[in-house]
Amino acid sequence: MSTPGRSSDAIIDTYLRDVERALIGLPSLQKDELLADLSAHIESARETVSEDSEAEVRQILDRLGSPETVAAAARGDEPVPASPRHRWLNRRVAVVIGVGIAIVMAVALIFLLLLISSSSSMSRIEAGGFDWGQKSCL
Amino acid sequence: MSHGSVCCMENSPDLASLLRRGTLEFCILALLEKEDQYGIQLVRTIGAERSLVVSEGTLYPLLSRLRRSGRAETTWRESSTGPPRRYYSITDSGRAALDHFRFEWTAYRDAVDHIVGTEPR
Repeated sequence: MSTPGRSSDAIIDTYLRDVERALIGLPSLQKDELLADLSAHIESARETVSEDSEAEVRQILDRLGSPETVAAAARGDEPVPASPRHRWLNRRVAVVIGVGIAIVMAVALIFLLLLISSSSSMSRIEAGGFDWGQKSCL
Repeated sequence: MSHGSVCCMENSPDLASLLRRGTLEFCILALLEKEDQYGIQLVRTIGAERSLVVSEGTLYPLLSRLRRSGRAETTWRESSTGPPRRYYSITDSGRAALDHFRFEWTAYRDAVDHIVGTEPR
């Protein structure tokens, strides 16, 4: 006994809801378009099968692909903000930038100290009293 | 050069999907060049080529991209059997892109065939 209608509809509803959930983050126009396309596809496919049974509906959905697969294709060429992979990349980039800034600051500090010490020696040379040994006492 | 007829689909799904990524949209444009088609018609035609597509549902985002890039456009048409259908047709820009692809693809394919040793005999 096949039971077209309610249980098939429920399976389709669940599928479309799962796709919608997997599409989070995409522009809503694009999301709505894809959901409408999928639902029209399912509707057309159901018209062509000999028997509108639950098994047939499952087969139609299998051929469409899992909600994750379909959503991944929709994301494929879109600039998706902060997927897990991007977050991981961002963390690495942040660490590299942080270390870079620390190194630059350390080098700048050393350079600044050298500059201060050499400019104070220079001023003493100009004054005619260059003496490395007494520099630190002044 | 001799080649076994071993299918390598299972070994390199990533390669297959990489190859599809750049070429599938032109297969769709080529189908639309022949005639306007509605979603499931296109999807089933492409889906019938087993090495071209794995999941039918992944073609709809591609169709959407073709529409958004202006290479295809859509119109709603009445259907005798059910609700109105959304037909896709190729635009002038789509035709130009397809011509360009045909030119590039032929040169590219010949070069790869020549070096990899896959020239048709």
